[in-house]
Order: sequence, then structure tokens, then C-alpha cells
Amino acid sequence: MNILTLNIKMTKTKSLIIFSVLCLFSIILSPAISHASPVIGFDPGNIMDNVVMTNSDTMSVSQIQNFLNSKVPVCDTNHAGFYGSSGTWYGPPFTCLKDYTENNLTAAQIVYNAAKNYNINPQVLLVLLQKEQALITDTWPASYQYKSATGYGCPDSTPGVCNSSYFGFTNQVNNAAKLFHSVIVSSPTWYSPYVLGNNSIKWSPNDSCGSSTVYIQNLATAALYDYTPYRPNQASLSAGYGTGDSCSSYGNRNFYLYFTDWFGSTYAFVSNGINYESVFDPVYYLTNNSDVAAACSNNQICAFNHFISYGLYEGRQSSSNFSILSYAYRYPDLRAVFGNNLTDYVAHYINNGRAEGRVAVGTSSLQSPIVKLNGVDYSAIYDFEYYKNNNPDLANLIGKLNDIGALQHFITYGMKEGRQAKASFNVHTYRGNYNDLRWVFGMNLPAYYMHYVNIGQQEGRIATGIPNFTPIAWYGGTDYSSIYDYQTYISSYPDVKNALGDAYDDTGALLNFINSGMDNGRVASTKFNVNYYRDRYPDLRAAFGSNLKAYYMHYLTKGKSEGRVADTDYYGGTTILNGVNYSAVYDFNYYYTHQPDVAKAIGLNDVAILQHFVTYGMKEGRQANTTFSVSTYKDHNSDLQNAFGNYLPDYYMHYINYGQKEGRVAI
Amino acid sequence: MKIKKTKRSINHKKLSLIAGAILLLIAIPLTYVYAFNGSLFGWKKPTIENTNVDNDSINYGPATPEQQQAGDSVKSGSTTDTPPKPTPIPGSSKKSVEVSITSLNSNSPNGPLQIRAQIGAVDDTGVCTLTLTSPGRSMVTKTASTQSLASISTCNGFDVPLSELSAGIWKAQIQYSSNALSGTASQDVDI
Repeated sequence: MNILTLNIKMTKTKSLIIFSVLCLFSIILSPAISHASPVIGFDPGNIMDNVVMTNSDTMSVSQIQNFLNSKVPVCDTNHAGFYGSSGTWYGPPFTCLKDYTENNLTAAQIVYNAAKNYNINPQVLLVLLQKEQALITDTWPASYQYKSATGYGCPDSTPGVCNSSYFGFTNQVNNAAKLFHSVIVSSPTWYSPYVLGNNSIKWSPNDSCGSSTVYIQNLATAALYDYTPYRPNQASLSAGYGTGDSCSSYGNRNFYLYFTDWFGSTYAFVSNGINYESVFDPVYYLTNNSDVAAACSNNQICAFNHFISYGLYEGRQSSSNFSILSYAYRYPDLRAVFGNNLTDYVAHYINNGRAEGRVAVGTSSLQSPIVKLNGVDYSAIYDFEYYKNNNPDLANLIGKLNDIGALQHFITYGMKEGRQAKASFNVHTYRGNYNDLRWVFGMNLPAYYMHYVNIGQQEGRIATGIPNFTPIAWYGGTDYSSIYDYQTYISSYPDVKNALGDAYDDTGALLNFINSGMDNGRVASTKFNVNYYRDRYPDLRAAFGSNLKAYYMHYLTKGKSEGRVADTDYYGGTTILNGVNYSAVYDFNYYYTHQPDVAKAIGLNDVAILQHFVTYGMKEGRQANTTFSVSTYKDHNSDLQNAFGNYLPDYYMHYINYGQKEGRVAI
Repeated sequence: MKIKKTKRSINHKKLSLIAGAILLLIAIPLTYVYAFNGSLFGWKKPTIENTNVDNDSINYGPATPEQQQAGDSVKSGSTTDTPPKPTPIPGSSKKSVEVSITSLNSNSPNGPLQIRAQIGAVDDTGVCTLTLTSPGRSMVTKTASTQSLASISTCNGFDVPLSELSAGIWKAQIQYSSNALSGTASQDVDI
């Protein structure tokens, strides 16, 4: 809290040099400091979380030292001396904080020790050293700055009261740490002018500026007000690191700014036991999400709650170093595990990814979509973008990230459903093109996909375009083409067509024909009609009866080669009964047609008709074909009349056995 | 005279050359530091990732010009939050110091009236006297010592049970006094 006016004691030469340097400074610095960014996210009732203030493990001694080194790369040890306001001369050499020691301890060690002894975040102490005496950034700090390093206990405002026991860097740091510790643990021997709840806090040391009511939410914030009992006004907050108005205060504003810029948020951002500090930057989130900033009035906790409840699931980028989508897009191994579960990506980055050096920004589209699963490379038949874009019904499943889910869906369902997953492979075309595959795989669609993956692609088989479809007509070593034609069969029987898997299910049609079509006498070819075939050949009827399938198989195995006819309608009634062939005197169709009483009484039963002819027809002299009339035969053969008299069956039998061969007249 | 004039001229030239050389020596490293680590010339400042040797969230980059300027302002005293100096009290050896009541609330159901005050000086030798008055009611008086903080002090707290205060408007007055300083603050509270 010391105010020392810098009374520079200068020679003309020094004046020239210093003026020149200051001019150079102003040239270099002026563009940068002319654009102060307003403070975002400062909550006067909750400046810092308790857990952040009490986390004494945030930095090691070496980290503190590295931090100090980084802020003052070059120490201006021999800077020009000056007189302080009290007339004290402060001259070179100046020692920067990174090089400062006291009682053989470095400043870094002293800060670390105080942090550990009082269980206070060393980052809080470092920021305090900056906001009180600019010791972190000062390239030529004077001794008084170390004497009152944390501005503890000796303001110029209380001359004669100041206790010199507070003097010294170590004392200052320890007393500051003790104050914070005492407040935050509610020490019974420590008194604070602030309570948890409503407090009247002045805007600035200027009493005429008045005060405002601040609801202090935690002890860390109370401790900060204990240290600097002023609330920065809007002018101060709007100025960023700059200067506000006559009622502005800066201590708590600068504490907040330095802390957030150097060490991250002043809030723990813990939800369900997970610390989101490494993935959530409230300032970034508020700055880049105007809707959240407006809804939350730039409150960091509100922004965090939005991120946890909505932003995370919406894939909003939450810091300059972490974008959920970018992280998921970049790493297929994570997508293979997490799919669309965004919270898992965040948890992985926090717990593992960050330590593994994984990058979580800079990727705007899904990289290396997964095409392998369980050792199988599906890239020949599957492309993630194609599958996603051509299967809109899977939008909810696939989402933005679930390439593993998409691949699993394709393997589990898509292949069975015959879905196309790559422009260069259509399973239906592939099936249609290759009857050797259909013969093996039938309607087992996944088998076609896998055949292409394993063999077909290498063989150069074609899987796109209009298929060259040659329906299968052979099965089990038998060629059914003489009795079966695929197109004839499915066009004749809609029930069959409807039962097939698709237009290329020739194996299904053939199996249907083999397993039921033949039994039901279905016509599957213009060359073969089983009814014609059966009707035409009584020998077959005698052998097969009503076993229709046997007629088909007979034609395949013998009938065709024997020259039998099966494509035209004709009924060939039997002429043989009890070993006697009556064909010389009997024709079924003639008899059936010219003896309507017989036809009506017996029906289309060639054996029964023949039995009627043998038993009754011959006795009654009925004519049974166009080449034999028993009356003519009797009339022209008197020798037979002598032998047979009027017993007509003997004439029939004589013609059968002898007369036909002898050329006797019978018609 | 001529010789004298020549000597003065030579001295002046020497001084100018020395000043120029020193200026360059200072300007070059300064330019390097600011240009390579700042935003000068549109070059990018190293990111946190690039400079973060421990791969943690600590910013190991150099201080920005804004941060340095803010530090300079603190060093020069233009932006320090320093309480006003005590002012002399006519006819007294003591000086007047600002005292303000920071809390005059009951912040929990049926909790005590929490009365807190800050004193604009660092002093742990004084005494605070709280006086609560309300027309027609008995005055309540309490005393407490003081405790110094970083830049101010505080009375060692007053928690007044509500049972000691009947409903109505009460005036709370805190009188601070030490060997060297004194001050008073008052405020009304509706119980």
C-alpha cells in the first residue's frame, strides 16, 4: 500500500537516455494498451471459490520459479535510481523477484512455504504480489516493494501506527497467507468485517463514493474483501487493466484479472465430482456464446451451469484449448468407445487425454471414420459419410460422432436389410450379377457383402449398375431348365413372387418350385405341362398315379430323351388290361367320346373305361376305334362265324391276336 | 574561447554518441522481447501450449503490455486502493479515521444481528463501542477490541441476539478509539 512518488534524479545525459527509452516504450506499448478489454465474469459476491483459494498443491517450487522467470525474461538490474516520496534514495542494482532471496530462500521457495504452511493456493499469493507491488512483472523493483511486498499492515495512511514487524518479503507473504487462512477456516481468534450474507462494501477508498450491498457467498470472497475492502465499480471493470473513474478501485479487479489470465478461472467448476477446470474457460465461453452471456449476465457460475446442462451436449466449444466435437472428431479410438456420449469425451480429456498430450481443437470434421471392427476391414463395402447421408432414418443413431455406432448398425442390420453403404457396392446388383454366389448364398445378403470384402473385390467382380441377371435353373446336380423357367414361374404365380426376397431371388423361386410347385402341378415352363404329360401317357399314370412330382422328374430323367410330348393337351387312355393289349380294337378317346353313356357312368378313368369295354363293350359289339368294327369283321370272315358264332368277344380277340396281322378286313 | 568551444562541442558529440549507443543496446533487446512475445507487427504471441513447460494451466508466457502497464500504475501509486489518511481533530491529540459499518443484518433465520465495521487504519490496540438505541427502549451497549487486517482494521465483531432487541427501528452506532485515532459510524436497522 506504499505510495512512492518517483523523483528521478537525472543528469542531462541520463535524461536523454531515459526519455529516449520511454519514447520507445510508448511507441511499443501504445497500440496494445489502447484497447482495454472489459472484465468478464467478475462476481462481487463470489470472486473466488473456497476450493481454489485453499488448493496449495497447484504449483511446485520449480513451477513458481519458472513462472517468475517467464514474466520477467530480462531484469533491468541497472535501471536509473530515484528518490522516493519520503526522500529515500533507491538506486541500482535492482533485484527482480525471480532472483530475490531472503534468509537464503528464494522468493519462489518463500511463496511455496507460506502456501503450504497456511494451506493457501500459491497462485493467490503470486497474484497478490503483483496487485500490491507489481513484483511479478516489475523489471526493476525497489527495496520498498519487497519490504511491503503484499501491502500488508503498513499503509502510509496510518503513520505512527504501522508495525514494522510486518516488514520484509517473508513476513509480508506469511501474513497475507495467514489472513486468508484465518478467514477461510473461520478461525475463532480472527475477526472479519464481512459476513456470509449481505454486506455494505465501499466502492473505493473515497468515502464520498458510497457503498453497495454485496451478498458474499463464500469465505474466500470474504477473505479477499478483508484484504482489499473495496468493490470495483463498472468504470473499473469496463477498463480492463486500465484506469476507471474517480470512484474506481482496482485491487480486487486486478486480483481477478491477473489470476484468470495467469492461472485460469477463480472457480473450481466441479460437477458430480469432476473438475472441469481444464476444459472450461468461463471467459472464453461467455465471450464466444453471446446467448449465454446475455442469459447469465456474464456470471461465470451461471455459464458453467449452462455448459454442464446444455452447452456440453450441444457440442459448444468451452475453452480455447478444448472443443468436444474437435476432440471427438480427431480420435477414432475414443469414438469407438464413446460414440455420441459427449460427457465421456470430456471426462476422458480431463482424466487422460490432456496428460497424453491429445489435441482437442482444430478439427472441424470427423477424421478417419471407423471402418474396421473385430479385425474386419469393411472399407470395400462401407463408407461412413455415404451411409450417414443415404440413410436418413439413422440420423438419431449416428448423430455427429457415432461412426462406430453406424458401422455396428451396418454390420448388424444394414447388411441384412441390403442397405447400400458405399457408392461402389450394391448388394442387389452383386447378387443379380453372379448366380454362382446366389447358388451358394441364396438370400443371405450379409454373405454377399462379406464375399466382396474377402474375394469379390480382388476378383474384380462388378457390384454397381444394372445387373446381368441369369436366373438359376439347376439345383442339387439336376438341371430343371426343361420343366422350369424363372420368369414364367414368378409371372404365373403371384404368391411365389410375393414370397421371394427380391427380383433376383431365383434360388428361392427354384426351391419353391422343387419343394412345392411340382407337388401342386404348377406350370413353370411353356415346354412342360404336367397335366398334359400325365394325360398323354397312361403308362406313367399307371406308374405314378397322382404323384405329380414324379411326372416332372420322369420327364427330366427319361421322358424328354424318349421324345415324349408334354406341351400339348392330349389324353392317352390305357389299352392294356391283365396283360392283353387291346389297342388294335380299342382307343380310349374314341370309346370315351362315342359311348357317352359309358363316359357319363364312369368318368375320365381310362382303366375303368377299358374294363367296361372288355367286360361289356365287346359283348355288346361296341366300336372302340376307327379301324375295327366287330360287325364288319364278322360279316367279312365267314370262317370265323363258323368258329365263334355270335359270341362277339372272340372276334375282337381274334383280330387282336391274328386278324390284324393277317390283314383281314375289319372296317 | 575557441578551444573551450571545441571541447564543449566534442563533449556534446561524445555524449550524443554514447546516448545513441546505449539507446540501441536497450532498444534491440526490448524490441525483441516485446515483438516476439507480444502482438507487435501482428506476430502471434506464443500460445499457452507452446510455453507451458509442464503442460498445465499455468500461463508461462510473458506478461502482456496491459499487465505490465497495470503493474506500472500500481508501482506509481495511481491505482492503489489506499484508505485516506487520518485527519487532525481540532483540539485533540488524536486524528480522525474513517469507520464504516459493513454488516448490520441477521443473515440466518432467528440468527443474531451481525454488526461488523471496518476502520480505515491498521490498528489492533483500539476499542470499539457499540451502542444500540431506539426511542422508548433500553439502550444496548457492547464493547470489543480491534484487529488489524492488511490495510484496515475491524472491530472484533458484535453478534447481538435478537432476543435483546424488540421489534422496531434501532440506531446502531460504533465508536472506535485508540491512543492515536478515533472515528464513528452509525446506521439504522429495522428489527
